[in-house]
Amino acid sequence: MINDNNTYELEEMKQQMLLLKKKLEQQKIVNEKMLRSAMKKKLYGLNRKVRVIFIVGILVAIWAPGYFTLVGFTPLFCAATALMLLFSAFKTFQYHRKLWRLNLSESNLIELAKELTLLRTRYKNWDKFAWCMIIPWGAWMAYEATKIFGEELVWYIGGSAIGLIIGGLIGTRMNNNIIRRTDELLEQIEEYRNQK
Amino acid sequence: MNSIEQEFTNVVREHKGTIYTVCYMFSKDEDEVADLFQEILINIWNGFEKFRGESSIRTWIWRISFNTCVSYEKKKSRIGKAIPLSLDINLFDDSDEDIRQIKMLQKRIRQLGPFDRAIVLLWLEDLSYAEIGKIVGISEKNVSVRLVRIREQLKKMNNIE
Repeated sequence: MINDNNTYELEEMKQQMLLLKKKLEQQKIVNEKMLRSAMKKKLYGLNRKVRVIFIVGILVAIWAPGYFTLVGFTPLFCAATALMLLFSAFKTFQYHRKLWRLNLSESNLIELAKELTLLRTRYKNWDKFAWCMIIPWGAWMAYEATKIFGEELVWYIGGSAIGLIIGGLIGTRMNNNIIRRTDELLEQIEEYRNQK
Repeated sequence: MNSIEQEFTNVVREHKGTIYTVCYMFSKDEDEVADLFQEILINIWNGFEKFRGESSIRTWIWRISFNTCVSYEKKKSRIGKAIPLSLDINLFDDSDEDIRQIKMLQKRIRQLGPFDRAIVLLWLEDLSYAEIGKIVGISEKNVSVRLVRIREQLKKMNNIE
């Protein structure tokens, strides 16, 4: 053991260590800076995904009418298809516009939570909205296809149905993914607010 | 949050002072202390499920903290900028007397070599010689000898100042 008569420096250090401990005991580990960085990462991932959806939507809106015209669908159907896809792309842009503009380093977390809640509600309702467009569009396409394809109609309708199912599944998955991400972000904000 | 995450959070919450103290004594740069703190948390998390309780959790955390700080120096140049994950505290600003005292402690400890730094920190944490020896991997007797040398070294430094 150290001789206690000669440990002035160490004893003083012990006192200083107690001061440090006291300071550290009062601190919280999760701070706003860290929370914002983690959220920024999540929000960046969400925004990137939506940007991809938006670009794909625009490209399909350009490609699809051309394809349908070549196959022999009526110009009205082609125009309606283009309009439907452009409308979907525009809606996606509109939903995310505020989130894209939000500077997470400076903005208020309450404002962000409000935006995310709104986004979540919109995505929750989006599938109902989408089916309202897809079902009449599908019926219209099937009607026009009966006039164009004759004997090959079964194959065309079958192929389209498979495409619709796959597209629907991908869309639903993306939709659920965005809802899950917004839930995670909202949970993080809530957790932080409770800690404060 | 699952049970392991919850347990990990509790352990970190309980030992955050210990972890931060080691980081603070191994670096005088605020960002680097935050990086070290984060690195230690990652290492604790990586080994958390494998921790079998052969030593106390406190001893295990000390060991991880020291090993991380020592090896951090070596790989510092390879590490990219991480997300700051630190305590919301500023010990780098001499605004009050307490901070000045803490900085004096940091200065004294930083003058020692990494190995002695670890020993003196553990002694300051009131760990027994046996526990200190277990963490740094030397005998109880060696800890005692080392501490006497450290005290002499500190005294010498004090006289020079």
